[in-house]
Amino acid sequence: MPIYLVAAYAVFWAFTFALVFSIWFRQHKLEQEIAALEARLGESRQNEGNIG
Amino acid sequence: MRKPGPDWLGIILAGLSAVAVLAALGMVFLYAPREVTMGDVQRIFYFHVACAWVGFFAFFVTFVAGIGYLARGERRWDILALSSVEIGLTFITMAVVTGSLWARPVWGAYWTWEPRLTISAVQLLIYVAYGMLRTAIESPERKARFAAVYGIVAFVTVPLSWFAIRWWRTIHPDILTGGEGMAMTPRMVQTLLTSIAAFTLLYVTLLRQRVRLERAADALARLRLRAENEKGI
Repeated sequence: MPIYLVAAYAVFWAFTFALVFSIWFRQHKLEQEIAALEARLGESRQNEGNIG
Repeated sequence: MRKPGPDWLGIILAGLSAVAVLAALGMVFLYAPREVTMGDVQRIFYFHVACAWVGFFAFFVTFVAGIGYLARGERRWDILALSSVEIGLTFITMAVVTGSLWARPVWGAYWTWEPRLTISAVQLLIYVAYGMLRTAIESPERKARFAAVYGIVAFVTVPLSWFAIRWWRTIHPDILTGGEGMAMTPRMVQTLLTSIAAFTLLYVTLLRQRVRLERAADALARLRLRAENEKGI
């Protein structure tokens, strides 16, 4: 099989996986940040309630 | 806030895209005949054209979303435009790289400054600049408005690239008219159409996920603002 053919399809898979991974990684990071911030907000409200 | 359940539509779309791309790949190597003049290296053509198609379509979506934003001023249009540019850029880059790998054994060079290739290079730089423009502007409204106008104007590179091989003398093959260099058999046409359909489905799947990512970023920004207002956490 010609080396250029193999290289072209390797490029396709590499770029596709890189894009999918990049979207997944950023989404995962954002979800973690959202969950952490929500937890801190919840704690803060609970503390306020206890003081009040 | 309640933790969202699994995104079933996303999972189904991703599964269908994977099956469609693998089916197209199977057709490229097992169903499409070997081209007489170029041999096996011509099989690059199917995914190369499909990548270029998705790139053009993605920039068209950005063009429409730009008009949508200017008409309505809604953030969702800006999200759609931005998400589509990112995917379009990836696929146009793939088309350029796979095209170069196809050109080397067929033309004897990875790159020639003929009209289609030159316009593709300029197009790539123009859409890279779209991202740079967005990062350079602070105000979200100004950023979205400028990006919308830029996305509309930048779209001129798509018809220019499409018609380049008809308007100017070029060595790039024209698949629609048959043109110089390549005669398509029915099996080749079917393989090409399957590849284009599979890539379009992949684009829709990726676009949906990219839009969700941008919405999550917006949700985080709103949450941060609320946290600052409430307590300065």
